[in-house]
Amino acid sequence: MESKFLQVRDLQIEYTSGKQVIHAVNGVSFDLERGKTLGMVGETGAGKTSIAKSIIGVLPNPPARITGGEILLDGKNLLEASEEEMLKIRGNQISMIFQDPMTALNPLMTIGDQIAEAIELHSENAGKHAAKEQAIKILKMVGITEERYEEFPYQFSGGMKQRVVIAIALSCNPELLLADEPTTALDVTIQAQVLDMMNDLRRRLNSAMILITHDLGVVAEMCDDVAVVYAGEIIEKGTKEDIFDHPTHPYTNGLFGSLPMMAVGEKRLHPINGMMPDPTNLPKGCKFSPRCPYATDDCRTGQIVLDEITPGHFCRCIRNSKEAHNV
Amino acid sequence: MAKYIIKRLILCIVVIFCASIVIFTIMYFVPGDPVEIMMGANATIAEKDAMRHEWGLDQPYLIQLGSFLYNVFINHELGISYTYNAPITTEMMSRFPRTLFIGISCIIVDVILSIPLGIQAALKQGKWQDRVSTIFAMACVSVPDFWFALMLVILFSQILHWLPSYGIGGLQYYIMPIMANALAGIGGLLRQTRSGMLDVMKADYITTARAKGVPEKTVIHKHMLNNALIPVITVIGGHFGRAVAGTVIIEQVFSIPGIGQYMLNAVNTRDYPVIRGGVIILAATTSVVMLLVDLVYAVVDPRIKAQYIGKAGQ
Amino acid sequence: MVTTKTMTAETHIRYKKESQFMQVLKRLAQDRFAMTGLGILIVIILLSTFAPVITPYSANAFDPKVALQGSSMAHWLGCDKFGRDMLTRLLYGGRYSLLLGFTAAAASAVIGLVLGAFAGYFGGWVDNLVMRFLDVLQAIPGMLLSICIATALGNGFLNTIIALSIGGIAGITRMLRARIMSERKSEYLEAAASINCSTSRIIFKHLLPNTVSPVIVNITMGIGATIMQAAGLSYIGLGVPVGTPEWGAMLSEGRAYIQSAPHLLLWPGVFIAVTVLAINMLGDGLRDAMDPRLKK
Repeated sequence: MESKFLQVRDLQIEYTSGKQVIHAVNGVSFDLERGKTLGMVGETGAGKTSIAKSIIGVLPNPPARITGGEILLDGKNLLEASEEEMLKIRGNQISMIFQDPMTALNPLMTIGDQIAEAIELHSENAGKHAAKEQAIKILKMVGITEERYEEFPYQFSGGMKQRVVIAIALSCNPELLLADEPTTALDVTIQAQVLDMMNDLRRRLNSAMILITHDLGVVAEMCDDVAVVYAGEIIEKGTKEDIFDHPTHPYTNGLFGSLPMMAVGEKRLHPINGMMPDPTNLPKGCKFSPRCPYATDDCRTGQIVLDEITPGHFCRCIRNSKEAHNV
Repeated sequence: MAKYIIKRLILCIVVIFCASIVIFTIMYFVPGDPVEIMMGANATIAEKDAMRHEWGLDQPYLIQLGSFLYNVFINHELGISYTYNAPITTEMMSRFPRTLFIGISCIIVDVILSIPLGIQAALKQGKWQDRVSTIFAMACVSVPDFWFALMLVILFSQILHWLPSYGIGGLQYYIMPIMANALAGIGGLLRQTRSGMLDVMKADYITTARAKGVPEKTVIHKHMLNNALIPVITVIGGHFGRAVAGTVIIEQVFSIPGIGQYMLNAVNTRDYPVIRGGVIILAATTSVVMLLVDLVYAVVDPRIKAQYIGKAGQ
Repeated sequence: MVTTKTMTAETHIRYKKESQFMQVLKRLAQDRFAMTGLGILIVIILLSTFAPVITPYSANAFDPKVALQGSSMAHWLGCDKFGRDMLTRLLYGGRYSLLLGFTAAAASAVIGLVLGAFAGYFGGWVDNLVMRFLDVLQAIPGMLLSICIATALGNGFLNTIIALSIGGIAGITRMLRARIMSERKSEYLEAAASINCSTSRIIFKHLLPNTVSPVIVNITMGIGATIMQAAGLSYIGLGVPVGTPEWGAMLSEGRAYIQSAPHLLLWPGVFIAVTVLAINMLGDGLRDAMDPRLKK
């Protein structure tokens, strides 16, 4: 059987803080094909960033620890790879775009050097000069002129810094791009620009992408597949059409309910009541049950599994068999 | 950049000028009459008055202050020693190199010892290396330097006979004074380096570097160190001030004829001009070193450099 | 858009209704290092307070027979040049050293806090005036300033306190001012003002707790430094009058006997170092307790 490009199987991540153990990621599995984009949606603290960081292997340890599962890239388990192997993969096969461009760049290095550093590390004909030329090319690709090569991060605005971060991430033509809320810290007017540019470059390189966001609008525009993450679990996943046209899990429905819909002309938003559960003390059964309007005793006690409700559309809810499509 | 340096130099002179006024005023308005102390009960009132007149002590405050400042900043003469009736500046200048040597050596020792230790402590955060260096740093700042100096003398001169216990001569005469005076600085700088390093280790751009596939060693050398050491540079100037002030007692312990010893001998004889002069020279030295440190800071940090050159970023 | 808040471990702790002060104390009590420091400090304070009860000797009774004698059963830490019991003098000396350290640090703290609050709160020319004055004061290294003032004022307990406290003012003033300046711009103060908090409530409930805590740590650490400076002043003959059983003064008296009776130099220094170490350990724990973010 031909293995998929990226397979994440039953990934589990814990954080320890003093005596407390925080279960950040609890058995997450998903696949991703070459050239496709997976949108990962969920609240802050749901574990999305931890998943991305564990794939590229930069989870801070301590406090974080991967306690189980496997991450297969072209069939090779990254969690068992040696540090030398990972060094060759990081920034080369897999690269990551970080959330906050203001702090993601080394303040004492010119932006050009920061881009060239990755190229020098990974290209075959690694020469300082060749790396610089390549860096200038990429700089131009993200819309920054050559003259700014020698400038420092403090001379750049937030949007321009994010372009530099993207340039670093794309500098070695990665096969997999992890974008962790790449536009959250930017002005709304610049968000679209940056996203368009990112998507355009990604298509040209035919990279696969995991796009972490809590903005459903961005997902609608950019993604092929969607995974909804709640309290360290995927509670619903499927194609974009599955999720947007037939949202099944009450939480997914809640997400859509808390969006303003002009066309429908609703007078008020429907927020999801309550808070995400304390990750040191997760509820038994369905993690969403304390906030779920439909929760029954079965939800609070039983083990709820991710069911395939239609081909390729999975949902972690015991209600899906009964009233899946009439919400 | 030149414009900035000149501006800072002028500011430096103004501060020293004002500091001189403060020192003069403190020494002027407090009780205690040097003539009384020096001539004792044996002298007649007329003799004492003549003495006061000779030194200008019978003039009003402002006149005395004016002539003092005129002498210091125009004639470069810090005054005449009451005890030796000799110009202070000449004496100070012949002693100054020793004090400066001790002060600068202390800073060098501080930097060489504390920065590598601080970096290691941060990298091994929470492990035994970190704990040992924390305790070591705390012990360093808790031990009085002059007492440590005395203990060194007992150990290295009296028991082991390795080092001379007082006086000047070759480099071996300076080893214990420098060790003793550097002690507190080692502790302070070690902690500063450690916390600077810990801040940087958590920074997002370190994750960026790791995500690029930069090997951990290079991450530490290329991305962490310079960022962590910038805040450390700023405190080195302050440490120099402390080291220079520390020489006053340390020179006394080791009988090193530097400015500090000159000042302390003057303390016993209430030779105010000498104390005043010593403080002004040491304060000026400290200010100049602080200025140099600020300039180094500006050179290594592009953000600060840009501010000074006036070519601010977009 | 999802706007629901996350409940992290940190916010979880804050839900318990407890005053900030009690939380700090609780965290401090869990810090073994800090508690060791506090324990040592309490022992030293008790020992010097009850010195007359603890030791059979008087701090100033001469006994030529045992002059410069080393440790013995009768005199655990030996005797000085007049045959006075060292341990007794060290215990009595704790009173001077601790009192000097605490009062001088407290005096510079009070003056520094008032100046810093004035400068920080009023800003403008008041701030400018205070800060320029501090620039000048700080151009003179602290210990040198203390030496100058002590020389001018002469020996004496009160004079030493004055000399020591002036040296410490600038640091505290600067720190508090800087804290107030940076906090004044913070959004949480605007937020408080926007819900109609009164000015006094803003100052006492919001501004002070957030600005004073680093200064308190600074003051605590300052006590240790001041004790060492006091000893230094006495050592060079500028602090307390000659013959006072103060630790620095004892070192000064013992200096002449460095060859014949090194124990005269050893023990006073050990007492100073242990006391200062204890205070610094406590101060260090206090810093962690006041700002749990710094720990780890």
